[in-house]
Amino acid sequence: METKGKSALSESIDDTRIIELFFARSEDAVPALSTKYGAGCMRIAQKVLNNAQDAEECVNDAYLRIWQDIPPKRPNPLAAYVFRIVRNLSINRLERNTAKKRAGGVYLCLDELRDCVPSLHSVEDTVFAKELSVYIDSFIDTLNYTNRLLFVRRYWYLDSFAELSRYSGLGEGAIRTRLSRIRNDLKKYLERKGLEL
Amino acid sequence: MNSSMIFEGIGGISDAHVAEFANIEGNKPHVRRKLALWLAPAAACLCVALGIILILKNSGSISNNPIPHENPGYPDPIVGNALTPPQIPLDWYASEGSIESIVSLEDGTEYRETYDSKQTVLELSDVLAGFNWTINVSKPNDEGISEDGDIILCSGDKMLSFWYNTNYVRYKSAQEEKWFLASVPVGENDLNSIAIELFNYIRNR
Repeated sequence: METKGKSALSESIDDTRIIELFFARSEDAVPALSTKYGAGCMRIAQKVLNNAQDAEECVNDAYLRIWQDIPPKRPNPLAAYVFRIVRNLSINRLERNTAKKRAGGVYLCLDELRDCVPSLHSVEDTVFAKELSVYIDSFIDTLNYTNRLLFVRRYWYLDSFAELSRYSGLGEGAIRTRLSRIRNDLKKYLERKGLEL
Repeated sequence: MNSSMIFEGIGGISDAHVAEFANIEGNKPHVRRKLALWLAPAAACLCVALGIILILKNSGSISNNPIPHENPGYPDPIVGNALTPPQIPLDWYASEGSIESIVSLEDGTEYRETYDSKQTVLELSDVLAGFNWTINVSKPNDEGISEDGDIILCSGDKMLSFWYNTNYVRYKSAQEEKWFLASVPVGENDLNSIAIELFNYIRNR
């Protein structure tokens, strides 16, 4: 068992090493994970929940889930796995917290995405969401790097326009325009695929 | 509900797409693209220069083409039957594929002759020689333009210029420059046929 202090764990620590720590049930595993991905996890949780305390609890829940999952899981890429858990836990908590009350950045994204939906027929099957994910995945493949960045960071990581501007070097107006076009393209893409929502 | 569904769908995208932007650095400042400092003055200068060129071209100061109807700045030609200026006692008239020449002498006598297109050049040359006129064919410049005419009749400092495909004729001397316009329209080939025959004549000599 290793006894390195948290300060010794640089952000550049290798994902494989972190997973090894989890497999070894090392007490440094979670600090190592937190050092590398803690800030990103907090940002996602904070954006979904719009509440620092809830976000911190969610991130801790996520660490516990990861501790339980690894081993036997050996996720690759680790970042996507960790962030996905945080995101899902945060959304679940949000649903619990705000069953009747709309709050948090996630709803802003939901409003924007409403126009992507080809029609407003009933959706009865949860399988549909998985099918949708496959189509959205293939749609993302058609985007160039910048548009991919904007789409994924906006609707998966729930980044603000200011953050997207920092990441992409584009102005916020340009980002809004691009995202609007991407949403329209997504709608057409889904319609071409015969998706009826 | 539907937007929630699509949000859920986005949540389920592949790890590859999520991981691609997981560790993105946010230090890319947005810099509004500015035009280069020299671009605006350069564009203004270009516009001014183009304007000046257009004005000069319209005023006839700059021209590669000496033919007046293609250069609005040239003085209006004298329109009439005469193809030669009065300084030369020779009038040419076209009539149904032939050329009639009238040589007016100072004492008032006239010599009228009608030539067919072949004979015209030879005999016209002889006629002109009688008045000390010579026939020259100019070499066009690189742009295919003969500034002094495709066919040039010279006598001392006087020069009579013809261009193919036009019925304009220029008379030029040390003192003056005049433009004449044949009464026959271009396309009926009166002047043109003369010019071509003159050209053939010179070339075949």
